[in-house]
Amino acid sequence: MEKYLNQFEDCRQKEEPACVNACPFHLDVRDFQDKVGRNKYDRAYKRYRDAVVFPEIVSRLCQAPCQEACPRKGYDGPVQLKLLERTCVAKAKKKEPARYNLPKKQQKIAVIGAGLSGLACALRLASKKYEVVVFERERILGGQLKDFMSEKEYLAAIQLQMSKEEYQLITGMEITTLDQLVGQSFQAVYIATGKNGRNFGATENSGYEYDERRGFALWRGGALKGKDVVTAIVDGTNAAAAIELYLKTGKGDITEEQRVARMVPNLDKIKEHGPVSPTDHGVFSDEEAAEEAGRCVKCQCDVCWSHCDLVSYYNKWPSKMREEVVETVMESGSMLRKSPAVYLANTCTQCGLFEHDCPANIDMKGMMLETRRILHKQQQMPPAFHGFWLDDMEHANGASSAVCRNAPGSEWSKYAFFPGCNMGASQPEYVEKAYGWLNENFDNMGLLIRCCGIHAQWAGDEQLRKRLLRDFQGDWERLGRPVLIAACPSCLRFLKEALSEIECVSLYEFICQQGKLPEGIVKNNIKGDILAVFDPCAARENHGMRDAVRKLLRLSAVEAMELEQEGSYGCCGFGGDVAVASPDFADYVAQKRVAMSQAPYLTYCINCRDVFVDKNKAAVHMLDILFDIESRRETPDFSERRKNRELLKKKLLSAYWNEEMPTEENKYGFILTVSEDARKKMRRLRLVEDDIKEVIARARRLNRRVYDEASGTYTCYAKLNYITCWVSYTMEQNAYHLTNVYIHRMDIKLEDVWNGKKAKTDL
Amino acid sequence: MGKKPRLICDACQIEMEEMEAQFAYLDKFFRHKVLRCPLCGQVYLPQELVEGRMKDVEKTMEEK
Repeated sequence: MEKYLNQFEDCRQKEEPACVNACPFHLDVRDFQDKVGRNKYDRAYKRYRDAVVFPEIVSRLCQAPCQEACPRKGYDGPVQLKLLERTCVAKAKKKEPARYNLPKKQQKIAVIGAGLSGLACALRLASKKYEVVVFERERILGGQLKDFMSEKEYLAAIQLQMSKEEYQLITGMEITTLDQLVGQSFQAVYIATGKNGRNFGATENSGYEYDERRGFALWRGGALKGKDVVTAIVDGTNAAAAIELYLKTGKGDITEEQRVARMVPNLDKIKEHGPVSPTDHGVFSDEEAAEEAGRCVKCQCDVCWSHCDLVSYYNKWPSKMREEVVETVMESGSMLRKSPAVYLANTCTQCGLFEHDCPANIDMKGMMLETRRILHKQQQMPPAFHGFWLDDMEHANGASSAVCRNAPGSEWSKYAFFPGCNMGASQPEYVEKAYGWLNENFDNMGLLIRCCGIHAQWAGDEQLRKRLLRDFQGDWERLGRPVLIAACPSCLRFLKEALSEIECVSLYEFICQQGKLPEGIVKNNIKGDILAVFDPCAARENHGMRDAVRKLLRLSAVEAMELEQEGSYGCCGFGGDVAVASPDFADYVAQKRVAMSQAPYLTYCINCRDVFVDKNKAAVHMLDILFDIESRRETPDFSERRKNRELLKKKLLSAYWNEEMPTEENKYGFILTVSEDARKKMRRLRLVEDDIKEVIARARRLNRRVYDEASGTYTCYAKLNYITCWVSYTMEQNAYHLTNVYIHRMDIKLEDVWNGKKAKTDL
Repeated sequence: MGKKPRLICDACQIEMEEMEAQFAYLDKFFRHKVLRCPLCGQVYLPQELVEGRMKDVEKTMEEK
C-alpha cells in the first residue's frame, strides 16, 4: 500500500497555475479572478493587498508576467489580469486595512531606506507588533517610485496601507555606518538603500548574516540587489518573514526558490472568446469585469476530474480519496475507527482510464484494489459486496457448466476457444456458433469454458484468486498448453497480467491472422443504422484487438463509425463488480456511456452489450456480425443465465463429444412459481430461483414460517451464503407462489440460545 | 368491528410478540426489539424494517 500512497507526492492537483507561478507575489489568481468576476471588489482587494502590500502602486507598475504565462496567450490573448487588478483597485470601497489587536513584541528592528522594499518590510513587521524604526536619508519616502508615479499618488497609496500601524520613521538621516545603530537594542536590520545605495560591506549573495561585533543580524534587498519597483516589495516581505523567523528560531534564511511550473492546463476548456476592452478609461464595468474574469479557465490539473468516473461521481479529489484510504486500511481496535473508503474502493470499476491519463502516473486502480485486499484480509469487506459474483463464478466453474475438452477425436489442443463465463450465460448461441466455426476450420481446436477468476481479484480475495489461477493453469495444461482464443476482453487482460505464461489472443485477432472469414461477415442481416464502435475498457491498451475488430468491420457489409471520445472513456459499469456496493454508481456510469452517442453501439464484450441492452440502448455484439446472429433486445435474468450455461454444456457435449449429461432432477421436490413483481425484485437483488427454493426448503425442514393474516401469505427466511433472504409466498395447490422477497446483510444471531429456549444453535 | 389481523408463528400457532434479538455484522454485535414467537423464539422482520432502518444501520457498520 505504501507505494500507492507515496505516488501522490507527484500529484499535480495542488500545483500553482502558470500565472501564479510567474507572479512575483504568487497571488492566488484563481480566487482573485473569481471574486472580481462576481464583482466582489472589496474581497478581491483584500486578497490582492495580502499578496502585493501596496495595491494602488502594484496595479499600475507591475509588468504582468502572469499574462505572459497564461495558456490563452497562444489562442486569443491572455486574460488581462492587470486590467482586472486596476478595476478592483478602482472599484473597491473598503480599502482601510484591518487593525489586529496583538500584544506588543519586545524585539526591535531597523529598516534602512524608506523605498517600497523597506516600507513593505516595515509594514509587515509592524503589523505583527514588532518595534520598527525606518531610517531614510531623503526628506520624503518612496525611493525609486518618484520615477514612475506622482508623489501625491504614491504617498497617498503608502499612507493608506501604513496608517493603521505604529512604527517610527526618521527622515533626513543618512546611515553611513552600521555603528550608528549600535546601542539602540536593534536585533535585526533590513538594508534597502536602493540602487547604488550603501551595502555596508556585505557580500553580494548573502541571504543574511550576523554582525557579531554590533550584535544584530542583517538582511539586504530591493533595488540595492537590482530589483525593480515591484519585485523590491517581494524582497521586503520576504525579509520580514525571514526576520520574524529569525527572532523566533534563530534561523533567518530567505527562501526565494523559483518553483518549476508543473501544472498541466486543460486546454479543452478554452472556448474562443477574445479579450474584453474596457470602456471606462482602462477600468472595466461590472459586466466587462465578469466577462473578462470569465475568460480565465482557472487552470488546474484536473484530468482525473474530467476522465475518471469515480472522481466525478464522488466529487472528490484523488488526494482526498488517498486520505480516506489511509484511514480505512489503518489497523485499529478503536471504537472510533472509521472506514470511509469501504464504499469508495468497492466502487472503482478498474477501467484503467485514470492511469492512462494522469500526468503523475498515479495508479488509482491499483490503490483501490489494494484497499479491497486489505479490507478482505482484515475481515472488514462486507461479504454481500462481492458474494453474488463469487457464487456465480463457482457456478460457472462447477461440473454443470464448465467445459475443458480437446477437439473431438483429438488428444491435445493446439488452440482452445475460451469464451469466458458470461458469454454462454448471456447468449449460448455465440459460443456454439463460434466454436462450431473454429472447430470446423482449424485442427486441434479445444474448448475451455470457465471463469478466468477475475471476480476473486475484484473481491480482494488473494487466496481464492491464487487457487482459481492454479485451477485455470491446470485446465490449460490438461489441454496441452494451447494458445487460448479469448472472446472476452476482460478475461484476456486479466490472463495476460496474471498468467503471462499462457499465450492468449483475442478471437478477432485470430480470425484476422488466419485469413479465413466466417460467412456471417458478408451475409449478416445488420443493416440500416450506422454503428458506433464502443471499445470495452479492457481493450483500451490492446491495440491489436481494437485494430482487428475494425478490420473485420471494414470487411463486413456493416457501416460503422468511431465515437468522438475514441477509447478515452471508462467502463460500462460492469467492471470491478461494483453494482452491489454502489448500484447508483453503476447506473451513473452506464448512463454516461450510453449518452456518448445516439447511434447503436457495436461492442465486442458481452458484459458491455448486456449493460447497454439493459439500459434500452441498441447494441450489437461483434459476433452478431461474424456469425449472422440476431441482436438481442433484452437480456436473461440471473436464473436464466445459469440455466443457459448448463444447457450450453449439455448441447456441446452431446453435439461434439457424443456425451449425454444426466438431466437434473428437481432436488427440492416442489414447484415454485414467481409473481411478476417478485421476479423483477429478484433481478434487482441478484437472486436466482434456487436461492428462493433453498430458503423455503430450509424453513420447511425447521418448520419455521410466519403467517400474516392480513395478506394470507407465509414468510420465512434463511441465511444464504452472504445474505439473509426473506421470502413471502402463498400456497397454490402443491406449488409455492413467491409474492415478495427481501434481503439483509447482517446476521440474526443465536436467537434461541440467547433467549434461553434451546441449547442448539441451529436456526 | 373485525379483529386486527395478526402475525402468527405457524409452528406454535401463537401470535408474534416484540422481544429482543441479537444481531451481528462484521464482528460487531447489538440487540434490538423485533417480532418473535414467545414459545419457539422464531424471528420475523418485516420488509419495511429490513429495507429501511436495517439497511441504514448496515451501511453505518460497514463504514465503521
